[in-house]
Amino acid sequence: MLTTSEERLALLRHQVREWAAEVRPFALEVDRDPSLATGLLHLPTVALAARVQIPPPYNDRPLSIKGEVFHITGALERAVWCEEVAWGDLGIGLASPGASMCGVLVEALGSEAQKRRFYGDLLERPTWTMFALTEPHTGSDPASLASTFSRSDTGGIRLDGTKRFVSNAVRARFGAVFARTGPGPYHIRAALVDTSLPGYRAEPIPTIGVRAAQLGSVTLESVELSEEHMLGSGLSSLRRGLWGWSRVLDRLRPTVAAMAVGLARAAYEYVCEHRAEPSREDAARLARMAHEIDAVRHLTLSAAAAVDRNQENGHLASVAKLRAARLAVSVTRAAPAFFGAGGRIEHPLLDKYARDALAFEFMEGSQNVQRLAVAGALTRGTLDPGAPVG
Amino acid sequence: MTSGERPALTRSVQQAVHDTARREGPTAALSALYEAIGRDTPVRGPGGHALVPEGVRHDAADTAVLPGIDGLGLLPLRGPTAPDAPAREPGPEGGPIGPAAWAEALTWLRLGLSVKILDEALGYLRDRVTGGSPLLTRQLIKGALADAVALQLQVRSVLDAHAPGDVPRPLSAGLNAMVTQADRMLLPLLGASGFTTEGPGRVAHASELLVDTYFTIAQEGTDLC
Ligand SMILES: Cc1cc2nc3c(=O)[nH]c(=O)nc-3n(C[C@H](O)[C@H](O)[C@H](O)COP(=O)(O)OP(=O)(O)OC[C@H]3O[C@@H](n4cnc5c(N)ncnc54)[C@H](O)[C@@H]3O)c2cc1C
Repeated sequence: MLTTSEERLALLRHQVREWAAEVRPFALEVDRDPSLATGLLHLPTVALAARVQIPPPYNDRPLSIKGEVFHITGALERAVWCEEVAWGDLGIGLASPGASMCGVLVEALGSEAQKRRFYGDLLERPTWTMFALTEPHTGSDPASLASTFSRSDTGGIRLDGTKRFVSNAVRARFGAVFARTGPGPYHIRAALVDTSLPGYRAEPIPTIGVRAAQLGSVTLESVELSEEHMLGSGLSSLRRGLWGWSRVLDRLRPTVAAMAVGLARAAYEYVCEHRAEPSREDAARLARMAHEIDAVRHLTLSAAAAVDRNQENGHLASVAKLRAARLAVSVTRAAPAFFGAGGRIEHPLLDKYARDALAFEFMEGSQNVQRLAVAGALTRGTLDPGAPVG
Repeated sequence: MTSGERPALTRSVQQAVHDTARREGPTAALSALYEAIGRDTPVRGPGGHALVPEGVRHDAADTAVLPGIDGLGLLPLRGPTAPDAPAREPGPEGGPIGPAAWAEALTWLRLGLSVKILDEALGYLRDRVTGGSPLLTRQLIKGALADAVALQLQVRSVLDAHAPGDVPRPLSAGLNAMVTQADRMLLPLLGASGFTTEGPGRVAHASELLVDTYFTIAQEGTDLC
């Protein structure tokens, strides 16, 4: 039994890194053909993703490393897990089965029965889930989403609308879908939707990067639901509405930052490994990269620890996401140039990393949305640059 | 013009390549450029690599797979893989225009692509309403647009100030770094629609591949540290 949380996290990091290395050889193949992503369950991180991130009361088979048990439900454990998984391959990491974003929402808003069913299904067999919020006309501004929950002829709930850019939409067995029950932000709710229901249709949207995650557009046409599918029924309209679940998402943001750190590190280490005898200037650039990666990792882990201490501490996660996305983009774009002209053609993995990094501009809130959140926290006084971070 | 080079492209050809890039994208513009220099074999960069439109004659075994430009009709070609690799097509030195004129032409082409991305970003931001008003009215957005367009105009002013063929290769490399910087400011403004293979993200990616293939100092385009 390890005593400090640092030792536990170091153990987790070490083991996940070892497993994540096994993913790397598949990265380019799945990038070319995203449909291959569902055939990787023999890889430890993919198989494990299917059954971690499930809270203790619902998971009797958590991850165990040298006798230490990890549920990967806290922000710090998630950050460590996600950094290493993304270092292995971001695309395959995002394409993994498991609770993922949908799970965090179910954990926060789900009833006991919903949790039992959701987590039970996940543990029964590897299951892909999704989180369908973005729409063709609304991305950064979910308050104006247009999909609707309405009363159906049979007295149930009818779901209509269109969603876009939903990760794993084509392969998901179920997921959280957001729609409105009436006008205004308090009337936006989420339901757990089974993708085999009549009226659900998903089609892939080919992307430049993280192609393995196979983003999809979803059409919902008179999908028949009942009250038992609705999340947050026992909660106030504030907590189950836009305000409530955007707080929930704050908890996830450090993990997105951690993924960006993992990707930057993968590109940096690739250069170190393959660039024989770098010039003095290149060596200096690599050293600066290493320092920057380290600094952003510190920031990200502090943000994760802050969220673990108090869920209201989400603003630091926006700071971390802002810096980490920038880091991933700049490191991955600089990396091919270490190999001279034709670096991207000779090193397709680096070309892929540069494409993948762009995802961080948008995933889990665009960079401008983070900027506005950080500036808001600063002007409200919740962010004090003179105080210790975290 | 360096001795031994044929006369460079005329201003009207440079402008036409730019305009084709702006209107139709990288493949049509590169095809127009190959046509203008009267060449049907790959023009190779300093490392022996090339990025060519499908119509250009090439050895299929040279073709690399880069999914980021799938469907564009552009082919990345590898350079010599071993010291004793068989002789390849000569670089632009052997073609009708020299490396400096080729680099200059690519600058016009990539600037045209950058303006294309700007056009698409403006269209997107005008139509996209958040919180009751078009995204184009947001100050953060206007700031990014202004920075990007200022960079584009800076590049254009240098090109305009040089007679065709008078832009030295290192200057072209620097100008291309500025174009890259402008693209990188613009692309995020398109949201995830700039991340789909049908969107302008693929154009920006192809444009970055052009720099990577034909210039050795692409690092200048990065903002790291
Ligand atoms: C890899 C990837 C995976 C994704 N997975 C999912 C998923 O699983 N589920 C899901 O629902 N969605 C998903 N998305 C979509 C993602 O959440 C959206 O792309 C994101 O919210 C931004 O929305 P948008 O693309 O519509 O951009 P827009 O909202 O149209 O923004 C366009 C530009 O305007 C800026 N902007 C927006 N509002 C303002 C403002 N008020 N002031 C200043 N600037 C502003 C943005 O920063 C951006 O630069 C994914 C996207 C990617 C790239």
